[in-house]
Amino acid sequence: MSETVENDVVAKIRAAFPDHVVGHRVFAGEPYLSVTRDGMHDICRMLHDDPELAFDYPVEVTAVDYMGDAERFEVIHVFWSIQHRRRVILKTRVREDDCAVPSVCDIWKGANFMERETYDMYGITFTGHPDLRRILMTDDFDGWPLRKDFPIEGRGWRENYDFIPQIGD
Amino acid sequence: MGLNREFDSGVLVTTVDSAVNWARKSAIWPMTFGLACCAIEMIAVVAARYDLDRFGAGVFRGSPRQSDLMIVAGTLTRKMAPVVRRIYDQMPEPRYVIAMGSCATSGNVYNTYSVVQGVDQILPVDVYVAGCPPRPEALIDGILLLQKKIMSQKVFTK
Repeated sequence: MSETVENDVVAKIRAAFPDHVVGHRVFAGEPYLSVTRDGMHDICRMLHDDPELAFDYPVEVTAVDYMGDAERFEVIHVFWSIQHRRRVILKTRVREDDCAVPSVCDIWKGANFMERETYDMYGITFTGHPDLRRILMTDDFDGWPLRKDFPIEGRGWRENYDFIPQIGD
Repeated sequence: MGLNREFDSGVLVTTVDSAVNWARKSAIWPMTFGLACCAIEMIAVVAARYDLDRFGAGVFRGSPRQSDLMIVAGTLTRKMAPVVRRIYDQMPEPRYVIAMGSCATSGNVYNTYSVVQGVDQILPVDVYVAGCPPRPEALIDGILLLQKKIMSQKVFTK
């Protein structure tokens, strides 16, 4: 990531967590921070609690599957500060064999369903989440549909009509 | 036969089949059941401009037990499929199904892990209405087609 344009959010986080910010970018006036998984939760805590930052609104939690990369998944958090009217985007890379990031539900309660959706679609575990279940797909669904190696037509679940009453039922 | 012609002016002669079919086709009560954007067109059909009541099919019911026709209007996902099937099973016979729009007919472009590729996979469909979404006229045409089908059915004879 380029580090040309300075931004006070980036400067503040970088100063507080020099070891955990692995890169940043400022695009269209909005800061993008690449952080390590170990520092991610503390950085979120600071983004929320620091009165100069005050990112009190979790806009979205999602992920990107970069299949083939060593750190395959990138979990993306977008936060908005209602008071300061600005946005920050946080990116955390995780490996496929250790597919877990800390949950931020203890900081923003509104992240609950969005983390469940990311878990449902990508199979990324959010450690510390109060109720990590599938939210869109049914519990018997097999696989993580938004992963790049998941077949678009699925694995036969959509053709399974076991609910249709049969003669003799 | 030596029958007196005294009833001539006030009597219609018909078959029981066509009398019953006429009654059925003239009061097709549909289920209120919209799944996606096709439901908006279905609502437009009932509203004043297209006025489905002209064909006796404007009395949308909130309960499957009072309905004769299920208009499956929209994309049917696999998660919703058991619900649709259960509602269909709750409808009293004779019951009819219209698959409205491309999604209900074949799944449309949604050839994905979650979308049922046409409601005919889980229900017997009487009339398919093409379009994405179909114009209200197309749905009216589908209902008129269904009325034609009802008129051609045998009720008391084989």
